[in-house]
Amino acid sequence: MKTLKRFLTLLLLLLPTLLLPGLRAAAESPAAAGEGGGTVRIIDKAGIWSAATESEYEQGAAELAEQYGTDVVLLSVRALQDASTGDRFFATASAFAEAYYNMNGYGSGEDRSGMLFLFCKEPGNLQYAFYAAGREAADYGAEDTAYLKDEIRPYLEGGDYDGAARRYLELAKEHEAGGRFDGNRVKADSSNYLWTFGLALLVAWAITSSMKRRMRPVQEASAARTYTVRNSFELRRYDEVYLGTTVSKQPRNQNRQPGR
Amino acid sequence: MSETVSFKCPNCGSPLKYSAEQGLFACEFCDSTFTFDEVKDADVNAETPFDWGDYAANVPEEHLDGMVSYVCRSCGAEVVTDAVTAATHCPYCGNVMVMEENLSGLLKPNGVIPFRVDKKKLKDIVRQYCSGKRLLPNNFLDTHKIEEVKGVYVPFWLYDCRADGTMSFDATRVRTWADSQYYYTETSRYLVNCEGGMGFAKVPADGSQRMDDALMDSIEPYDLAELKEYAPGYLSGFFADRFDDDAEACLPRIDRRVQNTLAEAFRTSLRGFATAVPVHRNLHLSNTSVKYVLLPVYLITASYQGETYRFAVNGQTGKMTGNLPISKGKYWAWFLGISAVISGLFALANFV
Repeated sequence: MKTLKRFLTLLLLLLPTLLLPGLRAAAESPAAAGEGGGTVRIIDKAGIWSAATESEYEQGAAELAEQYGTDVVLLSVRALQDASTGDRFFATASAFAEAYYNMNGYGSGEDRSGMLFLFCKEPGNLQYAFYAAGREAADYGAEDTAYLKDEIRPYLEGGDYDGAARRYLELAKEHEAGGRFDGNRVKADSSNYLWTFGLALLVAWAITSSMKRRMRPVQEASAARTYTVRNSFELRRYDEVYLGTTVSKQPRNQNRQPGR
Repeated sequence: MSETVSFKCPNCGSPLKYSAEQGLFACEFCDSTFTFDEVKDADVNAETPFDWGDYAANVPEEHLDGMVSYVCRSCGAEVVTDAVTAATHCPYCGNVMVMEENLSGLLKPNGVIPFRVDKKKLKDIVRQYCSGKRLLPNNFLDTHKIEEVKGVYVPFWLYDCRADGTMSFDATRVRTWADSQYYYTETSRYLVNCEGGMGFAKVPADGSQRMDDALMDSIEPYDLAELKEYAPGYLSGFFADRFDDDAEACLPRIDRRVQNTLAEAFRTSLRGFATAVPVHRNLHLSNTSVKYVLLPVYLITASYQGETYRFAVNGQTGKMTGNLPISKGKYWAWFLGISAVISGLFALANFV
C-alpha cells in the first residue's frame, strides 16, 4: 500500500513534466490559438485550383504543421492588392507575399516559422514569389529558393496549377525532412561525384602510367642534345610572314553554370 | 684455324685480367699488377687506326659471316665462335682469348673506354636500380635468378657531323581582353621561316646487331673525353665483339637524332608564339666523319617467373637500364588507391 502511494505521488509529480511539451506546442499552434488565417493554408483568390487539390493540399500542409511546426501557405491572387493587406497595391510580388504572410498571422512558434508561395495571375502577366519566415528564412538559402522556384515555374507556365500546388507541397515536405533539398543536392552531387570519380581515374591513370614508364625506361634515343658542339647553333635566316588575324568573342556569362 | 692473342703475366705466365677497380692489369695467380704501358710493350700494336673509307673499300661483306675456330694458347683447345667475336674466354681453362684479326689491321678500333665499374659493385647497382620502383614485384630482388653477367666491349660508331637546313612553322600569337559583356581572343597567324645549322661531336651508335639499340641508347652518355688509344690489353678479362652493323647502316639512326635536335633548336629560337606547328623541314647532314671505338657495357640476363629480363650497365659511369617486371597486383592497388584518395579529397572538399 505504501509502495502504491509512493508510485502515485511520483506519477503526479512527473505528469506536468511529461505533458508540458505537448501543452506548449498546442498553445503555440495557430489552430489552437484560434488564428483563423493560420488554419487555412491554401487561399485561392484567383480561382485556379480544384476542390480536390485544395483538400489534398490542406491535409498535407496540416501534417507538415503538426510534424514540423511550420506553416506552408499557398496563395493565388489576381492582383497584388488585397483587403487583408490594407488594400494597398504592392509593386512587387515578393513584397506582397511578405505582407500577406505577416498581416494574416501565419507562422508557427515564437519566430513565426513558415513560408508562402504566391502566384499572381494578372492577365498577360505571370508573377510569382516565395517568402519564408522565422526558422524557414534561415533554412531556405538562395540556392534552395531558386531551386524551388525553378521546379514550380514550368507548372505555372504550362497552366498546370494543380500540379504546381502538389509540387510545392512535395518540395516543402522534402525540405523539412532533409533540412534542405536533398533531391536537388543528390542530383547535383551525383553529377559532381561522377565528374570527381572520372577525374580521379584520370589522375590515377596518369600517375600509374608514369610509374609504369619508370619500370620500362628502355627506348631508342630520339635526339642528340648531349652531343652538340657548344655554341655551334647558328640561325642564318629568320623571318616572319604575317598571314592574318581572327578575333573571336565569347559572352562573359557563358561559362557560368545556371543557378539552381 | 685463326690466331688469338692472350695476355700472360710477365712474372708467372698466367692469364692477365684488366681490373676495372684498380685500372691495372692484374694476375690472379701471383697478385702482380701492371700498367697499360707495361702491357702495351708486350702487345702487337703497330697497325694504323681504323678508317671507314679504307675499310669500306677493302673489306668484303662476307667477312662477317660464318663461324671461326681458334686455338687457346693456354690449353690448346679449339674454341669455335662467330665471326664477330673479338674477345672471349676459353670454356675449358678460362683463359682470355682476343681474336686479333677482328681488332687489328683495318678493324683496329680508334679508341676504347676501359671498364671503370667493378663487377663486384653490380649487385649494389642492381639493388639501387630497383629501389623506388613501386610496381616491382616484392620478391623480385630475392627470387630473380641472374643467369649471366658479362662485361662486354661493345663496338660503337662515333659520328662527328654538321646538320644544316631550313624549317618553316605555322605559328600563332594570341592576345586576349574583355569588356563588360565579352571575352575577346585575337589570334594572329604567321609563317616563320628559319635557316641555320649546328655541329655535333661524337654521337654514338652501337655497331653490333646482337645489342638492342634501345638498350644501348638508354645507358648513354659516356664521358668520351676518357677515350684511350686502343690496346688489346684492355680486353683481357672481358668479352668483346667487332662491329657487324657498319657505319653506313647506323647512319640513319644518327641522322634522325641530329635532325630532331636541330629542329628543336629552331623551335626554341621562335619567340613570343603561343603555338608553332612545323609545316616544312629540309635538314641534312654534312661533314660526317666516323670513329670506331669499343665502349664498356655489363650485360645482365636475369630470369623471373619464366620470363627473361635483360639489363645493361654503363661500364664507365655505372648507369643501369633495363625493363623490369610489373606486379599487376601492385599496379591495380596503386591505381585504385590513388583513385580512392583523390575521390575522397574531392568529396571532402565538396562537403565542406
